[in-house]
Amino acid sequence: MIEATELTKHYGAKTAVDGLTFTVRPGRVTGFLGPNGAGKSTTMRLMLQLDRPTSGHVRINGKEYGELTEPLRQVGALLESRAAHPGRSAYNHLLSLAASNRISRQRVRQVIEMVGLESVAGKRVRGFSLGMTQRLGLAAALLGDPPVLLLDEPINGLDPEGVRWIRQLLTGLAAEGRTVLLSSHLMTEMAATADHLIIIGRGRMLADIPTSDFVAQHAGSYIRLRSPEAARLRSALTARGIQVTEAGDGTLHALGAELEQIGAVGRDEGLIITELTPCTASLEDAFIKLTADAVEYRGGITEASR
Amino acid sequence: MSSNTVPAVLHSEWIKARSTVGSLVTLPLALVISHGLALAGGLSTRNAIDSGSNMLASDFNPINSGFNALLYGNLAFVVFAVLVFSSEYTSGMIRASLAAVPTRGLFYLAKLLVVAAVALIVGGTAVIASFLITQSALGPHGASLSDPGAARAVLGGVAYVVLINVFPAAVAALLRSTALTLGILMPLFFVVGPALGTISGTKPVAQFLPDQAGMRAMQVTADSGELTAGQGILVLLLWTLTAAAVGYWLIRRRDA
Repeated sequence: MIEATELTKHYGAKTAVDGLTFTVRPGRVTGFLGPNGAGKSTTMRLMLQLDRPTSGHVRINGKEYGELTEPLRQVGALLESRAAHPGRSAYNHLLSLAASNRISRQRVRQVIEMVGLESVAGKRVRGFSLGMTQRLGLAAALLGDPPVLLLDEPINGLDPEGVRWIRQLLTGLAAEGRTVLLSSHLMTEMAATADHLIIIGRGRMLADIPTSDFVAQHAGSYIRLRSPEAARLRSALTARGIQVTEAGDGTLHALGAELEQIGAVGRDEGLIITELTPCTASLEDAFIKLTADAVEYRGGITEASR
Repeated sequence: MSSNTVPAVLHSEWIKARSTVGSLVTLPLALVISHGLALAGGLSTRNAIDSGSNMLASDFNPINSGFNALLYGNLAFVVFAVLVFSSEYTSGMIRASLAAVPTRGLFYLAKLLVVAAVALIVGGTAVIASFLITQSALGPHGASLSDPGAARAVLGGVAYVVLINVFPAAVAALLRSTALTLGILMPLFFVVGPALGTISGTKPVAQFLPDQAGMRAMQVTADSGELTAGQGILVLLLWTLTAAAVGYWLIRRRDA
């Protein structure tokens, strides 16, 4: 469990994190979403006390990070992709981290195997691809078999197979009752992986919501229609209580109706329907709209307070 | 109350120190340079004495000359000591390190201690070996460890080599940059210090610079106005403790 309370961080005049309060619960994957520069990485650094908060605090399983004993056994973190000495081998990198927390060599070999780096474990990190570096970072996070995992953009640089692998791994870890927080700026990726979403923009909380609710609210399904007699089709559907909007591209979008229903209307009214496609609104669009609104809202506040 | 046990953190830092290319190159290089120069210096000095050359300094002392080579071997040692800290920052490793050991004072002191231990073992060996190589190359003109002041000078040399490595390590932790640290210390140790130390007008002040003061520890003679061996090592110790204290204070407060 991770609890942030009124967490705030200023870097000089810049506010990176602005009064964030949230709880990350165990047993599920929580997605930490926001556009680039929203404050995700800063928040994660604050969790590990790499940076000190300007005000507020964040606790992991009831304690500040610095109060944990042998913290790698309690919290595993993947921060930036480049967090290893380029001249050191992957094995020695992990071994040095493991030693400080009295984690065995056997476990080091085990995590190397888990992330699939056996063949390059003795090689210097300098030559690693971004994907291999990410796997190394993940191995470091898993070293202490921790009940809490913090992963900053873990899918960066992974190929599609790697993305699927990490998704299964994280879902599995959450199912074991662990707390899993992963950040991303990709809405669709999060929708596929996370059970719960924390969305921030410009350091501020925008939404703290179950993924299914967010999808239901923002990605309502609709049916795209095309007809040479669009106006008549529209009024016929509206007369039967089906909400219809006109899309810019000459198609109609029907909300809250089944395909069969619309087909039947066409037959009853003798109308030609040339396209009848079930669609899902893009989550990415909903996400961009949500975060863009936040920016405008903040702009308004600043204007008013002058 | 600290996050990790002391032996565990020392073990971790030892693994780091032995597992980079930097240390695998700089440490053997330091030994090769100091031993090679000790042999060359000893042989050429012997040759100069035997041929009655007037190029020989009037204050020639075989014990003192046993440490001349050390200065150059030290160049490589200092690079090693600086890299121990600066590479953490330049590579981003510092974030992984501090996540593993959040008690920053412990992390910092363990690193300094590992630098000191490596300097003591590798550097100490280099000091003693260079001294013995120079003396045997000097042949009949050489001194032996049992000569008055010789053993004390060698011990002074070992103390010097330990402190002259810990000091740059602490400075690197302050500056968090390899280039900046070496850019300041290398000229200071190898150009500015020796130059000012030779000019009679600046010598009284220059002898308080860390390397100039520390090198007094290996001298068996001290002219009036010069730091004695004991005073010299004390001045270097003061530099080192100050840098280490500032570094300790800063690492506990700074964002990583």
